[in-house]
Amino acid sequence: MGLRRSGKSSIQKVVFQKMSPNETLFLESTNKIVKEDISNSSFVQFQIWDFPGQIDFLDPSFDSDMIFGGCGALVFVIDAQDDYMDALNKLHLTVTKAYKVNQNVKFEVFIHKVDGLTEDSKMETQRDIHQRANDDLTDSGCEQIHLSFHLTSIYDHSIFEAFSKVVQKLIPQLPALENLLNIMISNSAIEKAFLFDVVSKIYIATDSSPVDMQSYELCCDMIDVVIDVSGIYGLQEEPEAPAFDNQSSSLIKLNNGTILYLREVNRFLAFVCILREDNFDRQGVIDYNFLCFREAIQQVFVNSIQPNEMACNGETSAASSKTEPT
Amino acid sequence: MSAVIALCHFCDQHGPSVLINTRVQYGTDSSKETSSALTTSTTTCCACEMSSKFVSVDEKTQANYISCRMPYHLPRLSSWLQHVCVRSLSCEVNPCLFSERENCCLSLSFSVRDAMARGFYRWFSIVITMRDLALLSGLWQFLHRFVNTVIKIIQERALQVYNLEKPFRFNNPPQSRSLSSLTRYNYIFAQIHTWFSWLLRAQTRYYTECIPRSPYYHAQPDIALDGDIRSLQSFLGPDSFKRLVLGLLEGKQIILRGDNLNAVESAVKTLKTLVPEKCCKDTINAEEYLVPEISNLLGVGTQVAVPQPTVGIIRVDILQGNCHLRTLEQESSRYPTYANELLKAVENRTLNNKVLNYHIAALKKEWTNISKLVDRVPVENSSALLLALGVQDQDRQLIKFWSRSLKSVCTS
Ligand SMILES: Nc1nc2c(ncn2[C@@H]2O[C@H](COP(=O)(O)OP(=O)(O)OP(=O)(O)O)[C@@H](O)[C@H]2O)c(=O)[nH]1
Ligand SMILES: [Mg+2]
Repeated sequence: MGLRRSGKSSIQKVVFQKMSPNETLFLESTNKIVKEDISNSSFVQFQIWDFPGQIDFLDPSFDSDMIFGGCGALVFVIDAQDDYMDALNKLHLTVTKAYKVNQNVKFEVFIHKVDGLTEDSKMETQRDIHQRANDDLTDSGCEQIHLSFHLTSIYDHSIFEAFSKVVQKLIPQLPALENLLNIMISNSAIEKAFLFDVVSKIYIATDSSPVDMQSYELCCDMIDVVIDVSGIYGLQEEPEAPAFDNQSSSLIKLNNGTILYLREVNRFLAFVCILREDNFDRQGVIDYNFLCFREAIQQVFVNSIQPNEMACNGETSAASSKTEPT
Repeated sequence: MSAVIALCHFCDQHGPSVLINTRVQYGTDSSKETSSALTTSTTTCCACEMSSKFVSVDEKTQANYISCRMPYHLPRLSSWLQHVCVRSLSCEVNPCLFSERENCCLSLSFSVRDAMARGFYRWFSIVITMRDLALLSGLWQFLHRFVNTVIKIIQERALQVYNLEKPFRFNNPPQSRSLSSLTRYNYIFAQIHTWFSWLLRAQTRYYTECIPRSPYYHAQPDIALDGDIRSLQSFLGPDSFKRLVLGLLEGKQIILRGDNLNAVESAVKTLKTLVPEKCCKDTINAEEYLVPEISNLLGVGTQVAVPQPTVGIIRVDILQGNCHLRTLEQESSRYPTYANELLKAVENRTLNNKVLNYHIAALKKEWTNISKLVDRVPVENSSALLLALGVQDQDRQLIKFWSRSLKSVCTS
């Protein structure tokens, strides 16, 4: 949600439909709620609803239960290049209403279009919006509502980063995945590892070392390379076949002595990591560790086809991460 | 309010808003309105602006066809139009027919090329609203064909303009503009007024809307879909429902009399499922009162005179959405086993409607068989059998009625 022209449809198109950022200049204004199913094309299973900015959905003639009742995360987009006072008002109204209907909604505020801002004014804008939004909540006695803020732009990877964080909050198995990645990197001398949803290029988990934007971008670009190359040269007999399959893997050596290594986990997921070239002399160990890792991931998600058994996933994953051999 | 036609658009600044609407008003005195309507319609957005007002008069029928942006002096109509406008432009199906409260609406949305709009498209819709859903859907074909013609004309004009402007479209930032500049046709709204007036006139010439309603009318709740026992129960209220079911099972005559024939009919159909087919001679919408031998479950309109409730007759009056059960039967302390089980099942919310229906069918079968069996056995030998079948004193009336009805049809 968000005011008109704040960039909601652009975000959806760029992240989930691979539209190039420049093409978003020619997007129509959205006149109805556009629902997109992410479930059949990627690993993460959810729907994205793109709301028209001009229509007031808080109006009592709309069924707020239908809108917020089944909602996992509410992404509110604020245009940072514009005056954002109206947007903040709307944010406040939306958030309080949604919270009334459904207390489990995660509130994510995208401070969007920051590509036009200098580094200083980015920080200043985020601080200001953060301050005002939280003041508004405190003033109306809603301190318990928690808002997360992200600086985003469709012209770089920040939008993918932000969306990754949003989606991660909706994945109940996240701690188990992070744990697995931690074990994996510490036993394979890897610097940084991501678990990517290939189609959307959002990462659904990473190890617990801090994410550096550049390494994330490198990994994103690597996925693009793999998909493009396999799309052109792979599997010409079956034009319909997906470019990414269980044979996919790739190794890129950079001239600064680091290596990018990609392996397929399953049809939707890729493991991408960055490591130093010296540490790659024992590739056998890394590959063996990866096989164990993949095995463990499969166990974590063995029940995800039956969402009502989600509860027992926690246990499965804990067990599998302990048995991880190195 | 009779039929009203409106053209709506999705403004990039303001969202859905009405551009022009046309309605009929009978009588000669339309001058007063003319002035009042004009003064209140002020908007600064050039896409939403439509400051003219058009009136065409049909001398013969004294009908005034009036078009303006919003009839602000008729607040109910205005808010309804605004509501319809939002719905029609944000609806996922097209064309779409919907009804809400006492009004209904046919909406067709369409896009129009515009070199100055975001995405180079603009969304419009034409909505036709009236009170009578049956009439509106009956006119569907005619309206649909006509509206499509109008849509095509607007789209084609806009496309021509778009093709002229296309070379410059990337240079200018998006900006909103009026329909007349979009089609390069200054009289577009006058043209639309004549189209819409013609349509209203054509439509009223052939059909007129006539909804007889008492001044005390208030909206009737939607009731009982066929076969849905729970909605019937909540419509009648649990107590009346209980007594009605009991009467029906024990062979009393049930008369449902009401001003809403749909409600009466669906109540009859629902009740009918509770007893074996042969125990129920139902009549819907009877012309006159029928004696119990001919019909023991009778649905009639309010124009039919029926007897007051007596010992053998239970009456339910459904008037203006309220219903009222009238009976002289004493409330008995013990109900037949079948009735008890039935009512218990209806109360039991863990059974969904489908399961409930199966459950009732099974119970019904069980008691049909018991009734048949009991009837075959001479009274003097029956006490052991009755005990074995679980038949108690309070079941006797039901069994007597059921076995008699089941037999009478078998022999005839
Ligand atoms: N500079 C910059 N422009 C952006 C960014 N994201 C979107 N835009 C531009 O913002 C404009 C509006 O984007 P939309 O996605 O159509 O806006 P919206 O929020 O969907 O608007 P409504 O559908 O009217 O509610 C487009 O011209 C985009 O190109 C961004 O990150 N940076
Ligand atoms: Mg949009």
